[in-house]
Amino acid sequence: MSKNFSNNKILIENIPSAENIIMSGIEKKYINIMIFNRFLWCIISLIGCIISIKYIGFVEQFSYIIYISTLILWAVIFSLTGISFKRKKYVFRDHDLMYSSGVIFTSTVLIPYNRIQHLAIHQGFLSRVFDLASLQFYTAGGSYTDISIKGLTKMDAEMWKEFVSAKIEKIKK
Amino acid sequence: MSKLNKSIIQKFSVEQKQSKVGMVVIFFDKFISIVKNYAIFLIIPMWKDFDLILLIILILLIALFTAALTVIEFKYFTFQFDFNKNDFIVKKGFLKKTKLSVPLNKIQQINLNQNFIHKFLNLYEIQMDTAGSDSKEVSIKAVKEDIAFEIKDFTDFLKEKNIDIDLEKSNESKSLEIDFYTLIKTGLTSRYFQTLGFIIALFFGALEYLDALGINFIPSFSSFIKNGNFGFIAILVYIILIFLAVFASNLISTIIKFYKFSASKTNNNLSVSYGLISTKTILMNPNKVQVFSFTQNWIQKKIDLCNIIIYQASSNMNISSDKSKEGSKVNIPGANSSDKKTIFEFIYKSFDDNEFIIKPNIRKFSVNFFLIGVIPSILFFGINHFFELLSSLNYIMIQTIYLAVILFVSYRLYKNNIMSVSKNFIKVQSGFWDITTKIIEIHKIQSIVIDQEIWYKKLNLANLTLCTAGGMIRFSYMDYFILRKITDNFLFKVEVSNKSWM
Repeated sequence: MSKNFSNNKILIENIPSAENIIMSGIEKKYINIMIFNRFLWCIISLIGCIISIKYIGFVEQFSYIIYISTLILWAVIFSLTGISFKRKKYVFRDHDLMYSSGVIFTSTVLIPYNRIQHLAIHQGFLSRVFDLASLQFYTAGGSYTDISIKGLTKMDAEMWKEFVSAKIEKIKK
Repeated sequence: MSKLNKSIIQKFSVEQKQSKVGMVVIFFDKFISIVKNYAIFLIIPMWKDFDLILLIILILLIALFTAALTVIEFKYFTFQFDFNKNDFIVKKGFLKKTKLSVPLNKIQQINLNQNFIHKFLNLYEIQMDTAGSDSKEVSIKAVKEDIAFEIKDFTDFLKEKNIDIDLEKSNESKSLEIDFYTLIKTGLTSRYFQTLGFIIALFFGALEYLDALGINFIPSFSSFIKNGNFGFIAILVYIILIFLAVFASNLISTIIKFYKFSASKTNNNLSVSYGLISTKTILMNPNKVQVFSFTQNWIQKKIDLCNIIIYQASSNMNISSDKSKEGSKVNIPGANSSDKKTIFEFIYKSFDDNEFIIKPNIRKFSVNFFLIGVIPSILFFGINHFFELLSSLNYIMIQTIYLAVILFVSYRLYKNNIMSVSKNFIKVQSGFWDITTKIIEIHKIQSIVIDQEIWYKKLNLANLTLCTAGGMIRFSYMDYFILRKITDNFLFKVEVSNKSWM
């Protein structure tokens, strides 16, 4: 097959494109977890603000600015939750998988099945309440590019894991 | 070729301890790391009311404690080989016992290291780099020279046995040596900006340290600024002094690090060793090479010199431990173009030069200029306006020089940033003075990341990151259409390739 590769121009047209693929979104229930997580981090950061102002000794007059800017930041993050949810999309193809996310900084990660080292299902406390799970794919390329698809139902996650494991097994042979 | 004779099998089948003299090495290793980690707690209270006797008692206590730890570690540390299963077994620990068994075929490379004490006692540290992310790196701190080389030889032999090789043909060892003169040339021409940055960081670090010790340096500092001579010649002298400091520290560090650099081919591997105070030996296997990178600046181009760094697949990529990353990185300082060609051909066997060249969008230039040129200038203007630091003539002069330099730098950054794609290779070149070129093989790509800032969506620009098991290459401000086409191409090649990435 690789012998056909001498002429780039022609092959580029023939290669199936990753661009016009319809990707599937994650479970609706996951938005609850997203809101909860944001809420938690919001509270943590506010507590951080209070502590740092009290103990590290910021100038008093700046403290309002810090509070207000933190709250504005969180208001923006909260208002973007819906879009952020919609942007989390994944697709499994014949030979690779693709995951995209992000609102202001969007990123798309592509991993071919024959480069996956191992895969794992994670389920946190909240996820268990909503019967959700996340499916994580590890490569030798480092943690920067490991895909973690959050907000799948437990069943879907198991199913996709089986599917990809079977693919990997097949490639190994 | 039967390196695996009976005496060796007998010797390593039973549990072996490290060399007894090696306790000295373990002791100093532990002692230095303890002192390094806790020195700050000692020095600050000591500074104000210094008590020599207390200090000596403290150091003795630490030494005693370390000695106890050392004896325990030595006593409970054994290593052996299971020749039936081809496993290397290490047992260690007193309270928490650990047994590590590493299959020989999982061992990527064996490094023999020596620091100053090792050299003095004629001992070696054996370091085994293993593949697979969950198994830990194995290291034996101090063994005698003969044992170290026996282990290295027979593990290499056992490993090679599994892969059939034509020994007769590949056993010729052609070596590459970097002589002292070349090292001097390399030291004088490389890493200006990194060292300058390092010196500045060191300067501010020292200031902070003085501050922590409660020494007030501000009066003498401000009197220097006020009364010091800042005429044209004085500034020139300061600049020359800074440059001399950069030259000197580069020269010294290069010579210490790479003294007696030699590389020799053995079977399928390249064995590299170097170092003045501590000698490092690294084995490089062409199959494990992920990124081939070389750096060359304008001066080095004139005298035909470049610094090569070869990144190999490392087991501990996920854990950001510098030590493991250092172990899988091969440095070749001061190689000339024919050396570079030889090494490249040794690793990759071939090179196709039918390249498809991609350049970044002009935004790379304008955004860089805006971020590091225009914004700081506005800030500086504001500060100068309120605090009146400089006279308007001086301000205009400095501002113009700054903007001109940044203009030049951003232009160079833009102009030198080139990605070229050929049948088997991807090459990305970047930098403004030290121009680094990174080359990866397409089938060694692990994953691809495409990212885009929302404000570049309309402009159809995006950034591409290609990850391998030994580092990544990134190319930004790329036309989105071309990016999609080439990523589809890369994915296709990775997916149909039968070649293993390691």
